[in-house]
Amino acid sequence: MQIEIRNLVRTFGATRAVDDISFRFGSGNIFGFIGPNGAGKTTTIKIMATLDQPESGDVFYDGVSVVSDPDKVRRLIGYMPDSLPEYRDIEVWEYLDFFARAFGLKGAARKKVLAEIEEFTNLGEIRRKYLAALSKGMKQRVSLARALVHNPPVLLMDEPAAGLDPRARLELRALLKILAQQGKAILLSSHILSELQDICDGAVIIEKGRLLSAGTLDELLHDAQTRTVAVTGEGTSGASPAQSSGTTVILEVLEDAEKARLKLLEHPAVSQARLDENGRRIEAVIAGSDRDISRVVGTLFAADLPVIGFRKQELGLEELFMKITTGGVQ
Amino acid sequence: MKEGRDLSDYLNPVLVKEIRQSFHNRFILFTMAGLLTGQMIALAGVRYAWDASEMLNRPVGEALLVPLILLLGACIYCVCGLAGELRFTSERRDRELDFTAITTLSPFRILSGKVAGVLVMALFLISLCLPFLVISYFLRGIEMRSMLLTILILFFLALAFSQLGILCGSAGKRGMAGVYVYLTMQFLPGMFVLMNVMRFRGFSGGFSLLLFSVFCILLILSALCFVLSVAIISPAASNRMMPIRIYLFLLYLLMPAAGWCLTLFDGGPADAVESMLVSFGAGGVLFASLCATLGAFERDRAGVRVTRRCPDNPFGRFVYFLFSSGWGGGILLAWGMLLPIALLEYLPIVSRPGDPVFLRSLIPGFYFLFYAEVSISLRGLSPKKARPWILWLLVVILLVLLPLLIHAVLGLGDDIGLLLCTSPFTVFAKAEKIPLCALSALFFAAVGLLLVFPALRRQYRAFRRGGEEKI
Repeated sequence: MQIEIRNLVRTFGATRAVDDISFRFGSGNIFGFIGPNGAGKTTTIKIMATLDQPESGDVFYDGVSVVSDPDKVRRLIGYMPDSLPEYRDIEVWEYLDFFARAFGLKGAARKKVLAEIEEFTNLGEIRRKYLAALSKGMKQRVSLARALVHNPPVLLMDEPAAGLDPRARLELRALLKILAQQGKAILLSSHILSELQDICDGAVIIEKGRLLSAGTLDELLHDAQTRTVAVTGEGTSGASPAQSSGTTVILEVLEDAEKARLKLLEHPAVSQARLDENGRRIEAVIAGSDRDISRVVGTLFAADLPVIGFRKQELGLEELFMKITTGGVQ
Repeated sequence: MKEGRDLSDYLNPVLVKEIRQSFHNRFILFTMAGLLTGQMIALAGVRYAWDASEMLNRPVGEALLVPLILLLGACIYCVCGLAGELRFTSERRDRELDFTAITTLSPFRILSGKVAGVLVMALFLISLCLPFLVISYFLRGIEMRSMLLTILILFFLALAFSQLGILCGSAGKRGMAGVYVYLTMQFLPGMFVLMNVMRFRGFSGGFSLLLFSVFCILLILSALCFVLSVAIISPAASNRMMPIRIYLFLLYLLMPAAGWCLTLFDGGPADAVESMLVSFGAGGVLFASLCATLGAFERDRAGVRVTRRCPDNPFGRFVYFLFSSGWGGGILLAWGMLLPIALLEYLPIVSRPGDPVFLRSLIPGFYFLFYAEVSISLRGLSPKKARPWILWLLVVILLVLLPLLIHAVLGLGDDIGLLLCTSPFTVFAKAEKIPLCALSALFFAAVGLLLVFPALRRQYRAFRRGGEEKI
């Protein structure tokens, strides 16, 4: 199953909530959908789940269009919203039973599927409880069960871990890994980026409705390592104040940190060097390969400066997110 | 039955869900408890009012039956109508609760499941009253036929209330419960009169004809509410007008049969052919007017999801166009329904009443067609893309209400003159003026058709499989 989001646009009045977004992902992948509040994540997921219509653009599930064939698409997707809608006067098993019937499951097959899903999502103890009486974590499990009842190849999950305690989040992550191993394509939006990094194969980052970055995690992180960054103020070399690029290296010195910083800036490969608050760690941006980095560090040793450690800064999703978003909302 | 299946697998999933939710719902459970308690109190009251020897010698069944029927009616109203409306409104207000968005169930299936659920609850409520109804019968003073007919009327009312509730709920807006209550209150005086006529006059005279007419009206209105609801909850890009137009056209075709049925009752028309033709004329105009008016609220283009099912042959394509979404089909269909009625006036073999009743009945039909066409033609002129129903209302105010107001202010009374020439009130003109009034109505409708003809032609040309349509 290949899912392609193509030039999606959705506006609400004067606000362009989704502004020409395109990306794709496929079976067996977990794709993170990341962005600040108001970035357009929920709107995009709702369009993908046929709960909303785009102004232009489309979403294709193996060629089946959300715009012209929403009924066919609904059989292919399981949608898990950030909070279970308020259903009154219905028990958990009745709720799941309804959706199983609605998707055409009958008789023994329906009972078997429901039993398997209840076991998978650990709903056995709460199956006779009313939906309205459940806690947030229980509701999320029910929501996941509902999304899985017709065995869709694609799962769309909008902040599935929001409001869950750490144990519930761990359990959810384990479930998602199993589902991905079963061949499902999963798109999930979340603000808990450290957890996303643990389970996602790729990510899409949006802000103010626009796509900032998309790809596998390796591609995104490598891109961030060597990304062009805007530099202003002190601590820059003779490079243009608008740009510098290279690998960020963290150096720890015993003393004379300022002297070490200035020494670094003398080197042509170093575009930026600044001290942290403690005054012992220098963050330097060094252009070139790993060999160039080792030469730069070598100049500090040659100058007899007490460098006690250095490493390349490994960017995670959080750092990537902070690096490429501005925090603006619309 | 296939192996592994149970009976409920053959039922509509929405029906199963609705029944389960109903029996978990506290409001409904309290209503049922109230019904049983109220019946017990009514029975106790009757026992208190008359001692045992009096009850044996005098027919007191009616004294028990009346409160039972009132209680049952109130419970049916609350459970089958109001509760259903409130639940459907809350589902429609939240897209994540709306079954049309989160399941693959069709709008027809969803609504038929809801209606079936309501009817099951109505039957359940009636069954709760059966012991007391039997007691009231054995207390004498009631005909079995009356009792059964009363129950049947209540059942039909349950159907009508539920359909109206579903229609109000399908809008998915707050405050529709108030609209629902207001609309249903309009039924109640009529039902009260009907019950009393049955109580005091029995089935003599034209009562059975009256009853038949009431059942037919309730059924037609219920079905109309149903198809309108299907259209409202269907996705905007789908062929939502098709069920409505098919329904109106079927009713149009069935009107002669309805006219013939009226002749079977005492007090009904004597001449079957005349009755069939008059029904066809009057009913046909009503449904054609509705078809035209609903067409005026429709979109300009049918859309890809409609045209991709368009037949390739010219006849099939034309028929599909008439019944599909888009105002063009509605306008043409209305014309197609009105013109045969005009011909009836001039057929030599037709048994006609003395008054030019066919021409008279056509007048409002052509005017409603005219208003629809004018409002459609105004779409391109409105600067801020006004909604179709606003344009239609504007046209009606300017061409009907305003002249009527001026007519009333000037105190012109019965003189249906030039001032009202753009309104359907010319239907009240004297018999000798009717052909001229009908001709002027036809003239206005034809002018309206000319106004919209270029857009209609463009619409039809684009209406084909693979035609360049955008949703």
